[in-house]
Amino acid sequence: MMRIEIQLDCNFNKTPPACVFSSKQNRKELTLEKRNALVLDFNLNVKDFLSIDFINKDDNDDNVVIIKKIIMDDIDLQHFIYHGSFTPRYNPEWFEKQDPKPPTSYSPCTELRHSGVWKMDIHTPIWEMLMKEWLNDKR
Amino acid sequence: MTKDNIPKLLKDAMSQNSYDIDVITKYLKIPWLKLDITFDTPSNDDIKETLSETDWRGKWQFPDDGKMSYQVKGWNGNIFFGPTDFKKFLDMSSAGDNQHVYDEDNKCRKFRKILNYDWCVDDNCYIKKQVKKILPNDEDINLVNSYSLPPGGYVFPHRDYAIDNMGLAKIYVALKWSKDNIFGMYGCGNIPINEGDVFLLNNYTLPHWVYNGSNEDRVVIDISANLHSPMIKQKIIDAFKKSML
Repeated sequence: MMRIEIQLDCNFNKTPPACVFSSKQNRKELTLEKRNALVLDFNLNVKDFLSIDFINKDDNDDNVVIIKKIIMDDIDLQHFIYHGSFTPRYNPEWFEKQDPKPPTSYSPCTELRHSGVWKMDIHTPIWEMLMKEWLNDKR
Repeated sequence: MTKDNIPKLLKDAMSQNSYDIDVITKYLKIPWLKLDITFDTPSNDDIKETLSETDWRGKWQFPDDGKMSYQVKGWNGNIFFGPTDFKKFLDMSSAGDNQHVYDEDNKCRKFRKILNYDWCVDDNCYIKKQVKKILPNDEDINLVNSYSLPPGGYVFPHRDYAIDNMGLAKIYVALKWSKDNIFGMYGCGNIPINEGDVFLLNNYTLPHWVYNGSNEDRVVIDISANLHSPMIKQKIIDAFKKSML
């Protein structure tokens, strides 16, 4: 079991965002507040993922979910959260009006402004995942 | 066996192949080499001279200063040789995108031919005297500074990024290094550093970290230099040959 801490900020007036947090073996749905410090205990495989599915976008309220920080196994993932990718489920009416059409997915992306799934691949142990991210960083 | 029928390319390669300092330091990505260099044992006053009250990260305008960053604890430094107009240097080195990912050595290398560099200590300074023994020509020096770490101090795992494919670049003198100090290099274990050792380090290829688990300050001298300078070049070649045995 791994402890996952997720700090999220949300913008909304009437519709608090609801999100489903998942990994290969786990799933948890939560309704969020304006400031959130969530703690999830997930079983993670050696190759796994963490996803956040924003399921109740309200275009009238323009609610938004902002990922501020993710701490896994007591290790801050730092800027590596920018390796996550967001795949929106665009409102069909809104999408139809767009020209040019918006992209299928965004990365880096930590602000979820549409319904859709933010997903980041995870490898355990976490410390080694971070080392390999640095190792393969081509900057 | 006659060499008469050997193609010219092979013949030249066999007869002229030697040691290329750029191949050794840039292309091979060796994590470290121990150099056969010795600094005189410093006195307590010499050690005091290496320490500074000024926050190093603040001086270099890193994105978050030492008090704010959770990624360093107690890490500090002092400069002995570098750009004389430090404000102008900082202005120039911080211009452009992603400049914060480059370390102090890189920044100083980048502007070495453009700005004026000099010692900021007098001739009797221990560090200056020791560095002069291995690098007599100031033109060959980009930066000389100390890094100090108190008991319990650390620098988080991180990787530095180089502007020109650098690998082995940093001359690292373990001036005060008690047992239980760690310099970890990912995938290579800990660098086998003992007090007084002089290493050439590659901090641009692998994530690395430091921790002082001893009861004393840890002090190192960091020298960014022209590795083609005669004495240093020979020391690197000798160390490489020795390490390949």
